[in-house]
Amino acid sequence: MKRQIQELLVLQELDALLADLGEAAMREHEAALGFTLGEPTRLAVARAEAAARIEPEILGRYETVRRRHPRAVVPSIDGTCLGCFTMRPTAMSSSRPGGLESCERCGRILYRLEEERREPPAPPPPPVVAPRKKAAPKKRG
Amino acid sequence: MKPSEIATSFRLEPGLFLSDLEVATQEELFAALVDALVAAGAVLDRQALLRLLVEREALGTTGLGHGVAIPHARSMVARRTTLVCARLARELEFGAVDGRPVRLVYLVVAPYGAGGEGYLPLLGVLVAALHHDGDRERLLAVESFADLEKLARQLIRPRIQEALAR
Repeated sequence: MKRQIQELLVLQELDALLADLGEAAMREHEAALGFTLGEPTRLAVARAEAAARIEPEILGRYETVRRRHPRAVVPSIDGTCLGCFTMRPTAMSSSRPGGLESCERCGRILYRLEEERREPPAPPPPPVVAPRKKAAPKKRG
Repeated sequence: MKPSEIATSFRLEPGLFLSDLEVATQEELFAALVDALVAAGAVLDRQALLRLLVEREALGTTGLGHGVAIPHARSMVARRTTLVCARLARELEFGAVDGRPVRLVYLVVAPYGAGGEGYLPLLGVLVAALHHDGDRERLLAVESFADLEKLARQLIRPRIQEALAR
């Protein structure tokens, strides 16, 4: 799962760059700054290779969502989709290709942030406390 | 926040200056820069940004001459406009426009939309500074985070404001 999300994020970056290259304004701006952009032949190959690493069902879902939202894969934080900022939108559903989490409202594919995906740190060992000695009964008298 | 403040807003912190960076290839360089961004919490995913930078560079060099490269990209995994600067321990072949190897790198990354407003102004000012004799010396003289902060305070942010005022 994590690997497929990873591949989707790479694919999404390449798609965004390809879309940028299709805009005359972006090319003009780069040229004005002195950056020369060649033809995206290698980029198209890289895009095809990235797509080939994704399971067909998941890729199909990505392509479907991307038609509505250029940013089809977005993070979620504490159950909030950062695509539409709706709370508690997620549902793990077997009907979703590959069991990917999706936002129930906007349909975007969700991923948890890298820091949240990491293993939580092991809890600290319990403090070693010497057993308390029972207070000696006070002597009477 | 006023529009001018948004446009001059970019993230700068000590972990985003890499001194005497030892790299042998462009990919190693980009990996080190992205690692710094990840450590600073400035990007959401390492692999995606790294791949983007490598593919962007393959489209055309960002080595603009004078031993300086200014790689840049808008990214779906960037959190906000961020500047990373690296001074390399050894010169690196970059296919630069003047054929000279690179020793100093200024990487600009920004998200699409909100948070990325400062991207084009920052990129524009860095490039303009590189082509201006006096400013270029200041750009080339950055050897520490303190120098970078000073550059941002005395040159980059004021120039962005000047450009916006025109």
